[in-house]
Amino acid sequence: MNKLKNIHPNYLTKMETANQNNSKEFILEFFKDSKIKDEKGVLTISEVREDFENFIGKKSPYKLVFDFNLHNKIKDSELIMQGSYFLLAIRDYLSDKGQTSLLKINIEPTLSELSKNPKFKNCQILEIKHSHFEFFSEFSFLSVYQYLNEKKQSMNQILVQDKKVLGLDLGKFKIKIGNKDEIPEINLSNAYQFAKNRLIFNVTKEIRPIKSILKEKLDKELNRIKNHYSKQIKEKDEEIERCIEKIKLLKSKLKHTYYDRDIRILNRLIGESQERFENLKKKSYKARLEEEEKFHITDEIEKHILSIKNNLINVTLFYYPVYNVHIAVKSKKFVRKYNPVLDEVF
Amino acid sequence: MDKLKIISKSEPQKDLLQRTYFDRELKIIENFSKEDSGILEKIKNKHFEDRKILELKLKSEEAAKQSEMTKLISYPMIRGNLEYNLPHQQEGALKILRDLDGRALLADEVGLGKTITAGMVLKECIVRGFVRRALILTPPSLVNQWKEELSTKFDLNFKEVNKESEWENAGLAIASIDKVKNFNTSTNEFKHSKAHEIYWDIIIIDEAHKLKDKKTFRWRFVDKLQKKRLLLLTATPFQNDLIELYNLLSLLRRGHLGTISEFRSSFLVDGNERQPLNPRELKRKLSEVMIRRRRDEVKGIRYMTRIPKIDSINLSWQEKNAYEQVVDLLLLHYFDFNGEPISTNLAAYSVLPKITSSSKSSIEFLENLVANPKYHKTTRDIAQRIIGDFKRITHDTKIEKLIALIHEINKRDKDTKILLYTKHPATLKYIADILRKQKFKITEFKGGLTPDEKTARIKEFKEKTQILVSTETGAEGLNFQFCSNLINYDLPWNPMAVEQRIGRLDRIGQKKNIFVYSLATKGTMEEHVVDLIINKMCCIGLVMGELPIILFNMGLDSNGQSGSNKFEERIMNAFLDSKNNLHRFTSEIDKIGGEINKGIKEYEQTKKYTSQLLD
Repeated sequence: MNKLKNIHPNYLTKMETANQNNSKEFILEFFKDSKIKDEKGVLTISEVREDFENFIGKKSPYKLVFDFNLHNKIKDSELIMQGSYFLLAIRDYLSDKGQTSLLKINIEPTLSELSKNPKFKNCQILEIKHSHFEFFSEFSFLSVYQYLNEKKQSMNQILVQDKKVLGLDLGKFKIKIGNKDEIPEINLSNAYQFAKNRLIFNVTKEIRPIKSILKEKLDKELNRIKNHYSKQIKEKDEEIERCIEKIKLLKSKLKHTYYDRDIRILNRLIGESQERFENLKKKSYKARLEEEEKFHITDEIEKHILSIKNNLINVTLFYYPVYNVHIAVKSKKFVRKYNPVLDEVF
Repeated sequence: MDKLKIISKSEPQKDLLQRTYFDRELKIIENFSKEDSGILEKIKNKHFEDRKILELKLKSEEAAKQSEMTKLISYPMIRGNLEYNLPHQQEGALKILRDLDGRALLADEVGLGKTITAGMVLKECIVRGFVRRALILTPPSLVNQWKEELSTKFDLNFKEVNKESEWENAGLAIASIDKVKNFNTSTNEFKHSKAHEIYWDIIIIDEAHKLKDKKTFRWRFVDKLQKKRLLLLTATPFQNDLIELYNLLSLLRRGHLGTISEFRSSFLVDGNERQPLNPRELKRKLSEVMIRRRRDEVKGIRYMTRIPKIDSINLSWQEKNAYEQVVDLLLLHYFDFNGEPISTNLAAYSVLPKITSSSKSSIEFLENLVANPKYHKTTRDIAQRIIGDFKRITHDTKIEKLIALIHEINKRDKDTKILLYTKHPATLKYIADILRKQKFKITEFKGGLTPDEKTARIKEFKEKTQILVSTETGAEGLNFQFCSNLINYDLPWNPMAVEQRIGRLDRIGQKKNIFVYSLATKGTMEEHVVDLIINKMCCIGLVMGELPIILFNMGLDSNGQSGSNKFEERIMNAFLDSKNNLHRFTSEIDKIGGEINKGIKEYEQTKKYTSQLLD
């Protein structure tokens, strides 16, 4: 029992304490429009928006605590810890919110900036004019991997433009909230299929370590079952063999016996062995054991299933301007299109 | 390389919602949400939201992410419903889930709360989303107790399955194992074979030692169930020999102890199936699938002694005469409208307890009989006459005895509380009125109270009054560990019901020894039944929960023909067969007592034997 001491719920590891702090920060952010009182380790949240109260089925104020012992002392308090009911409720409340966003990459290259760009080497830039907007989309998938009694999750954010996955660092751009009047109607079905395929590819990579654990466990269990049944079948086979041998032996003894009493005994023994032999064969033990083995193998395979649930939780449409760059090369004038996000000229 | 059954990796697949594939024998199921198209539609319709919500959402996913199986995330949800925090229960649940992958034999000694540990496993699995379909198989007498505990302590509502058709919609199902194991020999199928078509996420089997014989339908029924997790609960995994243990473990992990021949040669002394050849190795193998804790190694639990006191009542000749007349009426003159005798069985089950309870409930029964034209005139006339006899009785000896008993208890401890039980609402009202007149502070507690009313009355009993007068249905599932005196004004002829009564007081948190007082009328059959149930069964030093196991082992807890408990049925039959001959009745009761005693001895022997091997 002592071995289990380190998993007692009262015991918080450093990592768990860090998680508790993150949870608190998250709670403060989520309820930033409500009234919050932070006193003696208890966050009292009141004046909460009505739709959340209705969703959770409880009117505010909520007394939130982050310590198990405090939770036991404070009546009607909600314990906030990773994966706790209250946090799950917030997650579920947000599940159908924030599914779509529109962002604009605000990028307007100047003449001097573009002149330094190697793509415009040996040419004189005369003018930069807005041409049109280009689009790409970011698909955010949450994947949950469930196996045995464990659950893991991972987030995949995939940027797709024209059947291409973009490896962009969005952090280097100035991004602002987009204006839907600046964009046309956009159908992302194809981009979504492409992102989904990329997700499958990523997930396949991500589950490798889990698969390896599961395979090892499953192999062990299947070997146990296969071994058990092969031995059982072998034992039964041997029993039949022994029966046959015994019948042979008794029959041979019978040939050399002349006393009536011994003949009667031997005949009885032969009869009994014969009956045992017939019984073993009649019961078709092999088929029965094989069927049983199949049942248990299927049971273990089902038990070790790796279940993956992929959820698209957000699609963000990014748009940005593409420019017509008027250039002069050796007194000849050209117009080139410049994509400032991808830094491409075409 | 993954062998994809539905799609290849190279081509984008439109509308793919699920793919199932195998990597060698490992099965992988990948699902995509149906809701994705709705999000694309929103984009098409230019319906955009604030990106900050996404950021918050991502944080919420992170915060709600479940930790690895190092703690029970469901525990805070149930903590308030549990009377005590006993760490060994959480530790057991975690070990089952984390180290044993949810397939385990939980063999804690009786009294350590195996039901609670199993409930914790169940709740954790449900909260984490691992379990949607769960099945609990219990002895018939424990179905309701399980249902109640799961509901009140774990907020889980299990549906009892009685008919085969009820399996289809059974998400969280509970059933009596004795009922579902029935085999139809004409169709060569289990009557409840539909249970075998379901893939259960978890199955819990209580008192699993009954699965000791693999040739039984019980064992075969369980073996055929498809299950991801299996919990077998028993304090005594084997009773007679180690082959029983082998059979039990075969349900959990086939071949864990080798084939039966290997098991015999590796673990049994030749010719002695009780003697382990290599106990250390056997223990090691068991530890891979079993959890067992002894009471003496678990802190925080004190076991109190039950002190039985039977108070005999000497009825006045008038009372005795009235009682005898009702018994005669039941046995000799109980006729329907056409003059046909009414089943004596029915009479015994429904009427006898009333007439032994109080004169008030006897009169109530007789008055109903007189007013009901469905009974024959002779029966009604006799009933009318007996009512007259009852009304001429000037003293109620039983209630006088009760008052004297309360004074005696108060003399011993003036601040003590008393839980007074009767089976009948009519008696309850009668007792309550008289005790109030005697200036005792009492609270009435009966069936039909709302949860708020119940809470208020418990509070009243705890803080203001001394005596709680209750019926069984009233106090079902409630805890009165702050009270240490129980008075059985009348006694159910069913030891399990008596255990339930005592169980309201005899639970974790009880700080005093428990006095169990029972009133019994001298020179009547009741006196002998009370002696058997109280002195020879409920107060012999067994730990709470052991008596049901003993009765289950003896096959005396299943429902009998009348739908009642088999034990109770045997006593009632003894009453009917004796034809009011006390001597004949007593000898039958002695016989039952002898069988019970044998059952108890066998159980004690089994415990000793189990302990020798496992502890």
